[in-house]
Amino acid sequence: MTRPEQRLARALDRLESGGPAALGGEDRELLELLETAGYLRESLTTVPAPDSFKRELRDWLAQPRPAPWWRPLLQPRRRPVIGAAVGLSAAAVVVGVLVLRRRRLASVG
Amino acid sequence: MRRLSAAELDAERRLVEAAQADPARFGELYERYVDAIYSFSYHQTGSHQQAEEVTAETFERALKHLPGYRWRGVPYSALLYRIAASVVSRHRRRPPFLELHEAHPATKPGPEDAWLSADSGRTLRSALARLPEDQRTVLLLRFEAGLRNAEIARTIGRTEGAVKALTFRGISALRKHLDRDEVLT
Repeated sequence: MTRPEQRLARALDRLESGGPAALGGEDRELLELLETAGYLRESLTTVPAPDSFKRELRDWLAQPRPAPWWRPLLQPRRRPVIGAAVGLSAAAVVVGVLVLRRRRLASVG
Repeated sequence: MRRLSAAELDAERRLVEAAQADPARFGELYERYVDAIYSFSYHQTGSHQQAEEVTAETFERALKHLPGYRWRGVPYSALLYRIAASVVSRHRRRPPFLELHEAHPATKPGPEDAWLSADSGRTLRSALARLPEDQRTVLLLRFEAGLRNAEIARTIGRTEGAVKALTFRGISALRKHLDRDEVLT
């Protein structure tokens, strides 16, 4: 036998699609839960937002906002520029490490 | 909230793409979902002031992340609910919120006041408030927002099996609370 949460989920789906709950006689407990679910669905009324709040929030959201500074950098035509900058930086780091290592070896020798 | 048909889902995809191309079109998504997100936040926090804060932050974050949003075939509301649930969790970890309803009553009673004044509504809200946050979130997403188990799973970052278990445990606990309050007897 499947678990009760699976049976309840299936019964709820069936009811919501307009079919019967189709529960077995041993599912007395589920019947009570379906009754509670029906009560919940009927009683859970949507509480609309106050009009003044909706208006203020809509106006505030409609205000122009500057795009983040990094967004233009992600545009396709800018990507080669970023790639070149990252590549040059990486090359500089590698050169720096090699120079330091050579100097250290020279001082040991 | 009613579930979207395939055609409505496709129309919503086009709307999201239009908003990505022109942020001014985000207003249409906002109008479509602001009440739903406010209601979800209100049921989660039990406070109009916190519901406004959560709703405002949810849409601000959604707008900020709109350029990087990728359509995955689920309603845009799934993203909004995910953000709202995360904001609610963060708010819950903050010190208790100071409610000013007594000193500064609403200018005029709205539909929510009628809902609150109804005994059954008040009892249900009280029973929901006693549930653990994850169970309450799942029940609200299922029975108020009308999301499917797979959509809820994606929204809260859990498996579909976990969503079914949370639904079962949430309804069972709610049943006990409501029985105790003699609503369902």
